[in-house]
Amino acid sequence: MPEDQAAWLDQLRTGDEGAVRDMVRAYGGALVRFLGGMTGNAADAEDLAQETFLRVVSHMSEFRGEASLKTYLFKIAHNLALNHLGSARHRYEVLPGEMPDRPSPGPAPFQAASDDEEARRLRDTLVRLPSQQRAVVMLRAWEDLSFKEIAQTMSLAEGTVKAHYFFALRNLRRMMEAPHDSR
Amino acid sequence: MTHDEALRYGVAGGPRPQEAQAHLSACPECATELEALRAIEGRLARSAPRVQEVDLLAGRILAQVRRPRSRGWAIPSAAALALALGLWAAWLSRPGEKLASPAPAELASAPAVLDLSGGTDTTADLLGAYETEAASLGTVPPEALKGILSATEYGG
Repeated sequence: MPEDQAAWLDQLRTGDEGAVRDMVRAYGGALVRFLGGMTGNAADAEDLAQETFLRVVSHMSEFRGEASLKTYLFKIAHNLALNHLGSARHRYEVLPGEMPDRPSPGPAPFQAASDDEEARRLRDTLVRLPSQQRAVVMLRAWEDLSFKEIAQTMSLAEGTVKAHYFFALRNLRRMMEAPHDSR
Repeated sequence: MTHDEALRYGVAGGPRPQEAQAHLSACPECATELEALRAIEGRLARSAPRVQEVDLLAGRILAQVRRPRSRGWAIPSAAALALALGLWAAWLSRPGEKLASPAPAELASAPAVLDLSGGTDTTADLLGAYETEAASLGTVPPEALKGILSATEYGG
C-alpha cells in the first residue's frame, strides 16, 4: 500500500491505473479470502471481489474518507455477498447465539494440499456458522478490523457485533468438540 | 450479571466492566469457558488462508475499467447523431410542407421541432443510458474466469 494515502486516494479518484493496481494488490487477497468464507465458493469469491473493486473505482468520487478504504471495500464486499446469498433473508437470518441448521452450500472455498490439518478443520467449521457470525469472526480474526470497523462494515450496532463474536466463538468451540462427522 | 454477559465482556469488552470482571473472577465455570474461547481466538488468527496471484485479478479489473472508458463517448455520440439525423429527415420528408411558408401567426404558435433548450436533458439521458450499459459490462463472462481460477491458490 502506498505511504502517501491522500495522494493515493486522489489518484484512485481520477481512475489512475497504477493506483487501481496497487489497491487490488493491497486488498485483493483479503477480499477474496473474506468472500470465500462468506459464499463458501472460490469461484464466487473471485467474481464478487472483482465486482467490489469495479464498484469502488466507479464510485470513488463519492468516497469521503470518513471510514478507511479497507472498511469501505469490505462494506461493499459484504453487501455483495449478502445479495449473492439471497439478500434480506440472509441479512436477518439469525439472532446472535443461534446455531446453524445446515452447512453452507457449494465446494469448500479454501483448499490447499499443504495446509495445516487443524487450521483446515477450523475453517471447515467456520463456514458452517450463520453468515453474520461468520462475517464478524473473519473480519476480526483474519482481517484485524476493530469491532467499530466491523459495525461500520456490516451496518450493525457495535454491541450486536460483539454479541455475534461471542456466540460465534462459543459455537465454534462446541462444533470443534463435536465428532468430526457431525456436518 | 449473567454468565453470557460476563463471557461476552471477556472476549469483546462491553458495558459494566467492573461487574463483569468480578463475575469472571468469582465463577470457575466462566473462567474455564473464557480460557477455551480465547484458545479458539488464537487458533482462528492462525487459520487465515493466504490468497495468491492477485496480479491476475488486478489485470482483469483493469481490463474492465478500460473497456467502458474507451466506449464512453462512442455510444452517446452515435445515439445523438442518429437522433438528429432522424429528426432532420422527418422534417424534410413532411409532404407538402417543404416549400410552404407558414404564416407568421402559425410560426408563433407552432411547437418547436427541435427544442434546443432540452438539449442538456437529452444528453443527460443518453449518458444515463450509457452508464447503465457500462455497469452491465462489469459482469465477467464465464470463460474469462477460467484463467484466474486455475492460477489462484489458497494456501495456509
